[in-house]
Amino acid sequence: MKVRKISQFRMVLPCCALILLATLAFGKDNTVTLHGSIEDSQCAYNVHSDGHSHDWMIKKKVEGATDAKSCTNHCVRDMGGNYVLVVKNEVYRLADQDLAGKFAGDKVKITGILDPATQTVHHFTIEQDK
Amino acid sequence: MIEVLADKDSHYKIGGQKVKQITVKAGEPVVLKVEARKGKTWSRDGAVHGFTLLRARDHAKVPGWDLELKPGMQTFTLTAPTEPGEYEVMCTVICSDDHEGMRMKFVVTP
Repeated sequence: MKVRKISQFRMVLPCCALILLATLAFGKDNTVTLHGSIEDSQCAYNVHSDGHSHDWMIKKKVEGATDAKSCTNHCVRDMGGNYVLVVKNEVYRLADQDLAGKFAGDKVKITGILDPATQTVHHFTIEQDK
Repeated sequence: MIEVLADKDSHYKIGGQKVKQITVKAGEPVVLKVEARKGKTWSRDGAVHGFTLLRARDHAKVPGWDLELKPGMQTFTLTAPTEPGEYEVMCTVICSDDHEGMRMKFVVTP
C-alpha cells in the first residue's frame, strides 16, 4: 500500500511541476495588441514635430517625401531609418522590418510579444486597421 | 582607432583629416570613437545624431552598423563589411535643417 502511494506521488509530482512551469511562463508572456501607424524612426522620434509626424520633412519639401507613406519609405530606404509603430506618444521598434515595410504609412493593428527593455515587438502579426 | 566628431553643424568630421571619409580593410576589426554634439534638434530617445552604414549601390544596411549617438564621447567595437566597395554613413536622427546632408563616404578596400 505504501509503495503504491509513493508511486502515485511520483506520477503527480512531475505533473504539478509542469503546471507550475506553464503558469510561470504564461505570467511572463508579454503578448500585446497595439493600434497605431507604421512610420520611420527619424520622424517618429523627432521632438520638434508636434504630431510626431512627417510634417517637418514635407514642410521642407524634401525630395521623395510628399505624404506619410512616401516620407516613411524615403527615411527608411534612402536615409537609413527603421520602420516603427507609433501609438499616440509611444514609439515601438519592430523586429521584422520587411513585414512592417509592407504597411508603411498605414494605420495598423499589431499583435506580438513586447520586450519592454528595448520597446521592441517581436514575432508579430499585422493587419490594416479600420 | 577611428575618431569621429558628429558635430552640432550636422557634419561628420574625422580626426586629423580634411576630407571626411573613412577607409578600412574588409572584415577588419574597427574601433570607432565618436564624440557627438547636439545640433538644433534631437531625438525623443535622447540621441542627437545617428551613424548608420549603408552600401552605396543599393542603400542596404550593414548589420551591426546602426548606431545612435548620445551627447558626448562613446566608443564602438565593430567589424568592417566583408564586401569591398563604397558605402555611405548616414545620420538617422533629424538633427537640424541640414540633417539630410549629414553623410560621409566610407570605403572598404580588399
